[in-house]
Amino acid sequence: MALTIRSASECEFDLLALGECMVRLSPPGHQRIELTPVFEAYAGGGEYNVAYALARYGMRTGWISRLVDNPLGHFIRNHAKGSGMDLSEVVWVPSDGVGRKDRIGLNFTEVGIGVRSSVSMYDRGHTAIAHIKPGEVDWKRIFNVRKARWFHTGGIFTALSDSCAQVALESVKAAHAAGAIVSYDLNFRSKLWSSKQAIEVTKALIPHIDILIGNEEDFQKVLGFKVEGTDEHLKELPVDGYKKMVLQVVKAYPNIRAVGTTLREVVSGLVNNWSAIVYLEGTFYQSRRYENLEIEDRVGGGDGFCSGFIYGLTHGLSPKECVEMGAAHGALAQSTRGDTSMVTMDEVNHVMNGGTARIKR
Amino acid sequence: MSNGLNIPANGALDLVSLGALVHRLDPGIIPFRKATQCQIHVSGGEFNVAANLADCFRMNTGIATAMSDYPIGELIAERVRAMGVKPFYKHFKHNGVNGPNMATVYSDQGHGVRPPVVFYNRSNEAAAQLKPGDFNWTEIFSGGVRWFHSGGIFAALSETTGELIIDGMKAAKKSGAIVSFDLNFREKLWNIWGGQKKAVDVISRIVENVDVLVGNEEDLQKGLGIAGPEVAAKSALDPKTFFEMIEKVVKKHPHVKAVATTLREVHSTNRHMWGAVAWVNGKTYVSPTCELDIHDRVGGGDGYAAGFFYGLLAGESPEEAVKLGWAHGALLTTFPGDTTMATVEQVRAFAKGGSARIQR
Repeated sequence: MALTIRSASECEFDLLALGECMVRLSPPGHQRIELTPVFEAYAGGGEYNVAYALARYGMRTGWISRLVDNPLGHFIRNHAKGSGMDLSEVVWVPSDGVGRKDRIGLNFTEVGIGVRSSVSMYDRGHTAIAHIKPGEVDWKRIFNVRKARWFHTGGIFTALSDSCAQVALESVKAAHAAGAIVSYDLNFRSKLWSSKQAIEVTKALIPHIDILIGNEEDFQKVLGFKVEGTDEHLKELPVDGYKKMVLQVVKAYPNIRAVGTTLREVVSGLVNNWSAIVYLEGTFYQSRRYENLEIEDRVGGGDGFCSGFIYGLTHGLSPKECVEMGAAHGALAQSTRGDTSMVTMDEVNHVMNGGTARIKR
Repeated sequence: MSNGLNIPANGALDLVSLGALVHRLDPGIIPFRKATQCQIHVSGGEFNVAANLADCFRMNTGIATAMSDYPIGELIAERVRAMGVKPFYKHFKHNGVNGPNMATVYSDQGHGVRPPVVFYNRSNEAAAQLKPGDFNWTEIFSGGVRWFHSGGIFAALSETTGELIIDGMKAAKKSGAIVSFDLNFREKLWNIWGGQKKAVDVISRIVENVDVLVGNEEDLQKGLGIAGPEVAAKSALDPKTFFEMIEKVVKKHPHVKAVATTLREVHSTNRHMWGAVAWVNGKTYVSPTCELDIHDRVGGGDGYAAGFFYGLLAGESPEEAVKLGWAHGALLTTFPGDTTMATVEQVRAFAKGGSARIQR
């Protein structure tokens, strides 16, 4: 293993994640948002999903965020607790009873089918986490006294507000200085900010980051790199162009030890070709390719890759096994409705080792 | 303190429960013979008390129990985490065919004149295999424990579970914890292996170690072999006959400091009159009564026990503890499933005489 991670015995946490979790409302099946009489409620958020999955697989995981002390905040808390994650560093803010001050973010997500793509509509203005202030979380105490082996955050959190961008910077700085591995999922969201803003803010974070996660679009929009030969609809992905771009990234930022991404080709809304590629300390590793992967719900696939990859790295698997675990976990995460993982480590191992979907009796 | 209980002020765990975890299949108001779908609730009489104390009353609680490693076990473990209860599991490997299993409880909700129906599949139940020596109590109690709870459902599972309860109670006593036991007499379970005689023998030996006893008149008669009341009560809500029986209980078991129970008058499946009483250190306490519109009655008694214990653990007077238990038990019957969805603020407001006016 090329990556040296501090020992578990000196740390209270195997991983800490910082970010937002929203309540997601989805029409059952493939109903339309504007016509459905019923919404199903889920909880999810890019950075949260990583903490959730790893807590389920027995890692000592904590999640840091800001939640409103009302039933929606409690909904997220109850969901989080089911994974076993630690919530002791969550900042709770009072509810003003109306939502003028601090809200829990919502998203309405419709799962497409056939030629109709999935639709995600945000209702995440004025959220408690977007109002987080620099200095509000005591990062020095968290990373130097409680200690974590790994810290994960990402571009969705950073994009929420100017103060979130400042908090992202102070958190990765403190984590990195204290000796945690810092991973960052670029996760560009055009509705939250422009590419220009993203590039400006994210460049300042990179010196404190060890591992970057992101798909082809993320690297273009968040860090300004160009992937050669991609068509604008990202239907087909030339892996060679992607590799060239990663080499540019690590040349520009030599502190980056690993870069991981999923390669998704959209055959149709619910059928994708799926694989993952990872650069780790100078070498590329590619996972097996899941041809025509049937998807129940694509949301959370990238986070599934990210958490599987981190699980592999923190459990001493070989780089090839790490990319296989990330790809398998990402594929499995898309087999269930909702943003967060519902599978077991046994299933991940089965799929990453080429197991079939024959019924188990 | 006036309650005669010497509850430790501090401890890493406010309460540890010992009992079986089960999953309850609930087809709602449809009887099983016509059901096409069920909800799955996670339950267990002894666990429910720990879960209610953790989730509603924000106390630190644990559950010592059996966990079979298969998907139903994982489902149960996830809900245990979600309720915030710290698990102490003795793990069993499921063979993929016939166990050891997490018990299944089939329980519809009934409706109107049709009562709820409960039956079990507890064959090859992992928890029934639990025996003295399976838990390292010294380690579990090492950070301090304030209260230890178990119950008659777990005692009825096998010849070894009653002995394990005694084993746990003795260790808890040594650590200074208050020991409670909910008699919860289940005739069907005892009939499988021990019958009435064995039940009285095992439960009497358990109660030797108990400070706080929970149980209604039927539990006291069938579980403890206490003679029934000489005069029939005027109504199910009249506590006189219950208090009369308690005198016989404490005569037989003079170390028992408190006995508590709920009083229900069942008008229909969906409509009960609801009250609660307790005898604490020689004095009797009676809650207000109210009429309940019931959504799901299962878990009401455990809800009362949890609220009553919370009151005592939080240093409230016995009178207030009875009220909190009564209020929490009442709220619990408004939720689907066996465990709480209330908050301590709601419980306190209802105990004070709050109304069901919409809160906007």
